Amino acid sequence: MIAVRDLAKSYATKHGNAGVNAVSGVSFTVAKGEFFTLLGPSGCGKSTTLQCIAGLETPDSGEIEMDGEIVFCSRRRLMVPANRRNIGMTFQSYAIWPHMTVFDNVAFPLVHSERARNDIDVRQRVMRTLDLVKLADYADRPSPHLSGGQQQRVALARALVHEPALLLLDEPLSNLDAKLRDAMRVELRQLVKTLGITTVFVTHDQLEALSMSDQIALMRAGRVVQLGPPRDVYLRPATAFAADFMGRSNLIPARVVASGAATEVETGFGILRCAPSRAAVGTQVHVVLRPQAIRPLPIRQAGPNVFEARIDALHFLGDAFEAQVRIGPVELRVMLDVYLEPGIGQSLWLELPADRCAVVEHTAEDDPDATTVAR
Amino acid sequence: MTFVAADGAGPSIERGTRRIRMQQGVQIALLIVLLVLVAGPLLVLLCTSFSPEGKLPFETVDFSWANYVDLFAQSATIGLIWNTLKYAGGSVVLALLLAIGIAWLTERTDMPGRTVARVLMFSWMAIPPLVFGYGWILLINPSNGVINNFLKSLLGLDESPLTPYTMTSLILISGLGLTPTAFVMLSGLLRNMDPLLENAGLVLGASRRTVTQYITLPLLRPGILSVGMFLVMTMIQAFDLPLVIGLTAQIPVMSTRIYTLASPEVGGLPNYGLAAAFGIMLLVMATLLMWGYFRSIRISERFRVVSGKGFRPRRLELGLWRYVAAAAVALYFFIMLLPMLNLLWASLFPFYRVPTLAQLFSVSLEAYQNILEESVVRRALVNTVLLVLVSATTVIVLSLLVSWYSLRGEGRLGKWLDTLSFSPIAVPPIVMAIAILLLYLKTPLYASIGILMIGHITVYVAFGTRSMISALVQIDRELENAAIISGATWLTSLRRIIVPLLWPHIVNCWLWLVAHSARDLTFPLMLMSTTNLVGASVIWMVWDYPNLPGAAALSMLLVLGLMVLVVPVQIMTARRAEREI
Ligand SMILES: Nc1ncnc2c1ncn2[C@@H]1O[C@H](COP(=O)(O)OP(=O)(O)OP(=O)(O)O)[C@@H](O)[C@H]1O
Ligand SMILES: [Mg+2]
Repeated sequence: MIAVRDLAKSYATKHGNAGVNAVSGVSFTVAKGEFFTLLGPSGCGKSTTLQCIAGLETPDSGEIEMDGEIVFCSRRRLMVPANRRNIGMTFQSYAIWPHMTVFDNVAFPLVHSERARNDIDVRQRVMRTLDLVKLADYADRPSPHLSGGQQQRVALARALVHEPALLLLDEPLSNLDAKLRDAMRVELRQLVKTLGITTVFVTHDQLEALSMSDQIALMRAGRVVQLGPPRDVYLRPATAFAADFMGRSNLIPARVVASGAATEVETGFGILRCAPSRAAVGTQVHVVLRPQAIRPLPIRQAGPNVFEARIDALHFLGDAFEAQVRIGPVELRVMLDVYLEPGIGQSLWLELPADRCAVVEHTAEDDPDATTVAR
Repeated sequence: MTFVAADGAGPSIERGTRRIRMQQGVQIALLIVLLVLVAGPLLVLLCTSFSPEGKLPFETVDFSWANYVDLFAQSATIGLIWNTLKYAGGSVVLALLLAIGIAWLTERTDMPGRTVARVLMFSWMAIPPLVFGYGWILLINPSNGVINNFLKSLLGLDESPLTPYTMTSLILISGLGLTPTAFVMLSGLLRNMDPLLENAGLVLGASRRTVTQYITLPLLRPGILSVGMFLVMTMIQAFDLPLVIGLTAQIPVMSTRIYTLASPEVGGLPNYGLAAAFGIMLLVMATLLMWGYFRSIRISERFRVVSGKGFRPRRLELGLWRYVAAAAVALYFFIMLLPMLNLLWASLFPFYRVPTLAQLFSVSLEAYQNILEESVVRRALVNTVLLVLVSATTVIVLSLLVSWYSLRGEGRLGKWLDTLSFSPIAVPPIVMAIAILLLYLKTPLYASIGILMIGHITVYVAFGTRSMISALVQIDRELENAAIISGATWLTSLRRIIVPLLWPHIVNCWLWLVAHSARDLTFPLMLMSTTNLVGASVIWMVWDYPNLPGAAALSMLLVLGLMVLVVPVQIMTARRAEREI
């Protein structure tokens, strides 16, 4: 459905010519009907990528293909403007026009578009779309008096009313309160899946990305650092950054002593077997281990990857204890059963299952605080 | 980087590039229009000032310093500059003192009638300085001025004690007339100042006087300074009052000197070269002041004491003093309205009669009838309507486009447009008028109303763009993007999204432009011909004729017309402001 190849965009700064590289060398493809997510921290270039796909920004270089048609190509100096790309888009600020009613907002793409056709019944189409987002009763309301959630639905209706081939969503849920956000997450995915519309979704919230997407592109500083289905990105982070960004994880500094199928690393508390990795022997790496991947053992059990730990601190979370434990010099976070009534200072046996210990290479761009243990 | 449709690209791409072409086409057209409007006249002015004496522009390519030598050889030049500075400085100091006092009372105290006072101040733009000046002449001229007569009988004098025809009177009258402008610029400053800063001082045990001296005034000083600079700039360009009062009093200033050089008394030949040289000199002075003004703004930005949302300024309770304050402000307005009342009186009799109670019963509208029967006058009224509508509307359209390009456009062209449209702010209207005269002298446009439109568009486009930019920056770009994504063209998004959102601001700005275009005398007089008379120039002509009741009647009509436009809007704005506080 869409293919983005080697996209780059930089903005000129006010002083001097050296610009900000908002996006550099981004490539990915999205299949028809897929829910594709661009995920990354603030300022990593998600919105810029989306705007390039939309045609609102002119990339410096690269190529964008949409439905088999090239819509942008820097080599051929070709650019199809936004109003000709047949897309729907919601914006970070919703961009609901305050001088119009809900109905007029949603009807706009049908009435004022270059592509507008005369043979469709605008009223019926708008009402049908408003029904879809459960706002049919609000059609004649002036739009400034809507709640955040309602505005978000209007924006969605406006993006969908002309039945675009592609839907672009720029952080649609970030301005909603937590409860509404949870509800909308499910609803939004269901809606676009029923319509079968290809969607590119932008968010900085990994939970949204994990729960809604078919594919995730994790971005950092203008580049895609990992691309894959949510489970893969979560369970097999390629970098320490990816591991850290996708959720709480223990990052254990280590050195590879055996590579390949039986990867082994040397950590501050001894030899640790890990999931297969191609890291060369002798390299400095990080072992990524999610807190819930660590298995507390009721009794001492001999075996590889079993270590004795001491509890330093406990945080009661309701459904679990998050414990800060120490194996030798290394601090780790572990989830403990609330019914076990663990105590501070107590010691316990932990198994660090080898298939859950992912080895990621230590890259120079990893910021120093990302290498600290257990964040 | 610009992108065009590639060879062999599909039809949708062909069509698709139209938006970009349209947007760029309009931008280039705009650039050309502004270049012709702004740069054209100034270039001709510069050339003329360097051409040999007696030559018209385009007649010669010779270069000569003669005009400048002439300019500096004349001993009168120094006097002229001194007069100009004295006039501008004096009237600005008076206006600032009055405006600060009144603005403090209306914005920071519980003086009764403060809303009325504010509305009156803001509505004053409906009164052309020319009309104000004529009113004063009626009041204090030495032969039959009303106040003079009154003082003579009261004090038993033989000689009239007052006259408008001295530098002091000129400064006083101009200063009074300038006060509302100063008030408009200062009241916001005072209103938005956070009273906490002052209260903090009081809590720490300082007396009210110490607080004023050490906190309030220092905080306000940069703001007052920059307003003062701005006003000095407008006053060295002022033309109307120096013309109607200063010429009779034989106190020439730069602006009137340019006028007399370009349009000498009957029989004389215009000396365009010298006028151009004077114009360049005035331009240089204005540019220097402008530069100083922007520097001072930058400094005052640092002192900004505007507080955020939800702050309620606490008004100082004046106690019984508030009636004294109200009386003082009322006295100011009484003085301001006296000349207008005198003009009104003059317009109610076919021949001017000194106001007495007995005459009150023989008032009639005969003067109105007489003057409106003149075909010249009727034509001038039609011209006025044409002039203000066309120039105000064109300026709005130009400013809207320029501000869009300067904020949203890609590339450097947008910034050029911005600079180009803003540069006339440093060009005194009288200089622009002589420059336009020189440029179009030999064209058919010269005698038409069109040339006045060109003049007004050129000088007001700077105000227009500033004002539009300040409104457009507050409109989120995504609102527009949403329209484009919905499939709208660039023009549709302007028409359906930007214009409706800016509408209240556009109306306000348009009204300001209408009022200023209607009250301007500089362009109508400098470029006057029999066919392009407008309200202001016809009033001047009729007064000079002399037909005093006719001029008074026309003045009243002009003021009334402007009031109808301006006052309701000001009342609405004031109501809204009161509600917000
Ligand atoms: N118009 C612009 N001019 C200059 N720099 C820009 C512009 N737009 C974005 N940038 C810069 O480009 C980088 C990427 O911005 P972008 O808006 O794509 O980030 P983002 O990933 O969407 O972040 P957020 O989650 O905060 O929305 C940022 O460093 C930003 O400062
Ligand atoms: Mg963004």
